[in-house]
Amino acid sequence: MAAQVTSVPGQPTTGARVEPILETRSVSRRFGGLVAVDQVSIVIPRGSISSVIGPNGAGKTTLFNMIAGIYRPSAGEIRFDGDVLSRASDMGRARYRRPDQIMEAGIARTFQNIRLFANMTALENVQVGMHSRMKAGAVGAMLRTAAVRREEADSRIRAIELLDYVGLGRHAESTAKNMSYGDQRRLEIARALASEPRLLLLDEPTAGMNPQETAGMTRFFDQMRQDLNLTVLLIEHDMKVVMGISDHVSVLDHGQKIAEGTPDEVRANEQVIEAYLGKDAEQTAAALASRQQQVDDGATEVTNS
Amino acid sequence: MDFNWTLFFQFLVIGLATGSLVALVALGYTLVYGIIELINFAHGEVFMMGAFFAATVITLTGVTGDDSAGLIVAIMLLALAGAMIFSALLNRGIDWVAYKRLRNAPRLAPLIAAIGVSFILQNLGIYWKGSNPFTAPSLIPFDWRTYNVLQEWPILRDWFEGSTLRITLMDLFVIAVTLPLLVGLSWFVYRTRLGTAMRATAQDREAAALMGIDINRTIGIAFWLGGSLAGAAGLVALLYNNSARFNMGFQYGLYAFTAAVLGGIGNLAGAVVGGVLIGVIWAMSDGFLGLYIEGWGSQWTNTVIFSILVLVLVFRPSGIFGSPTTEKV
Repeated sequence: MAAQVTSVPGQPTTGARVEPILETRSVSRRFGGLVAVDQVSIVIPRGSISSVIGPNGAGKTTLFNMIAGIYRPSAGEIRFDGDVLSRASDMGRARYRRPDQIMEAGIARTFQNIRLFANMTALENVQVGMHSRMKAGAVGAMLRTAAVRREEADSRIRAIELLDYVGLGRHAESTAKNMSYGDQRRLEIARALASEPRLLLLDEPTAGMNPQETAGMTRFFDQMRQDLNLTVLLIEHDMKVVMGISDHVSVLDHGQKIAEGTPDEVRANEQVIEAYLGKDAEQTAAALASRQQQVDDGATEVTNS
Repeated sequence: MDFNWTLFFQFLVIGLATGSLVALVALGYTLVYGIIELINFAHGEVFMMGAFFAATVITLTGVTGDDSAGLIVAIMLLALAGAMIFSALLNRGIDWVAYKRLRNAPRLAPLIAAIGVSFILQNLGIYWKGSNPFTAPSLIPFDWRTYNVLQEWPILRDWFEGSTLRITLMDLFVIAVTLPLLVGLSWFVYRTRLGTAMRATAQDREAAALMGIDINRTIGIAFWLGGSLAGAAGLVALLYNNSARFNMGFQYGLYAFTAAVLGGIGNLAGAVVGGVLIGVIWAMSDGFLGLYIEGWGSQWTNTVIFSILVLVLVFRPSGIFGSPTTEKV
């Protein structure tokens, strides 16, 4: 069975248990006869960088979509910051929230295949992200009240600050579809940050990047967590990406959680190795170790340059 | 026969005025299509109901063309505001009653619902004002309709001396109502928070929801806006044509739909350009072509307009301004 967690970084080892920022309790999602996610319970410690990994088709994105409110869980419960975010009827009174309400509660996300508003400028994309934090309604907008004008001016300034923060300050007026792939990924993050989230969900944020870019990006996540007081939850199918930066890793396979713990614990777990690369366990472990070395080397190179 | 430039420009003026009306109605199609990919076939009827409501408001005030000019203008503004609010409420109500439940249904379902709503509203129109065309309340004094600015206004008078071309106060009135609405709409859509939310929802509804945008509310705003523009067009059509009928929304609605497709459905600028083009073609076919083609008249206009619709759909379905729509993943 799953490797048991002995200690979770970011959580005090003595004294009262800190309330986790996100917790799924026996969450399942069925699509007809297919069980995409099967009774998954994970705990995301506050202030951590946590990861959910698993081979393609393991149910990671489905789990993400349930957290974000696109899918309703067929069973189980998801709690965010002590509140019930969504709950299927098997856990008591069913309760669901719309995606925009979940965003307002403080969870933002990026997408596996970039989903920017392609025909808008970078600045406008970020301003859309701020939508839920602004108040101006249709009437106020038409009357141009002082409060509305101030809010719009503030939102513009803050959007530019965010673009600067992710390194896109020069591209504020570029149309999203004309930006480079890496810049689009950064813009997605800026747009997600615009809603002032407490939990940031990143769906394969380094897909399509080379080892150097990946190393730079993962260091940026760590920076973000510190600067913005965030908890970060990553989804990856590529194990080596998350090992270097995660405090806590959960592994899914065929919809079930097969392991969780620190990166080292997970890396050593035989079920995990089997799930990823079949049964040649020794070979696999060696391959993983050498790949990890490559990523670390990449990181060093970037730091030195 | 020589080309009759005076008449050509005369029908061009009429076409531009009619075209602005078509543009206002076309914007309602395009706004709603842009955001939920529904062709709201009840939209022409919202326009008709706006005209009917405006007629009722004007009649109730009892103001006629004999009253002072200031009072007449005030009543026109009152009727404009009334028609806009009434049609916006109606359009939003239609969405709430007939389309909202069908958001996730196959596309054919809301389309058929829209056609159903269109029939219901036409019959309500018959019940309200009868099945014959009725004359608009006599709010506009006769000399406003005949007032030719080209012969009355100082500088123009010198330029157009001896010309029989006419631009009346009514032509100017259409532009005076339409232009501010177009400017206001584009400002709302491109410069405000809710407008940005609308564009985001149009491009990717799911991503917009995940960015904290309340989708149903945003769709509602598109219906509010489209309805109010149709209401304004209803009042202007009532006063410009001096008559209204329960099925006026059918013709205007289908022409406006053609205009929206011609410009590129979902594209705001396209709807305006398409509307003006269709208006000009409409006027030329109704009046000008008959001078040169034996037996040509308004009976051919439907044929011309719908041939354009067919040709656009076959050869350039994305319209004049159309860019390939953002693909959905």
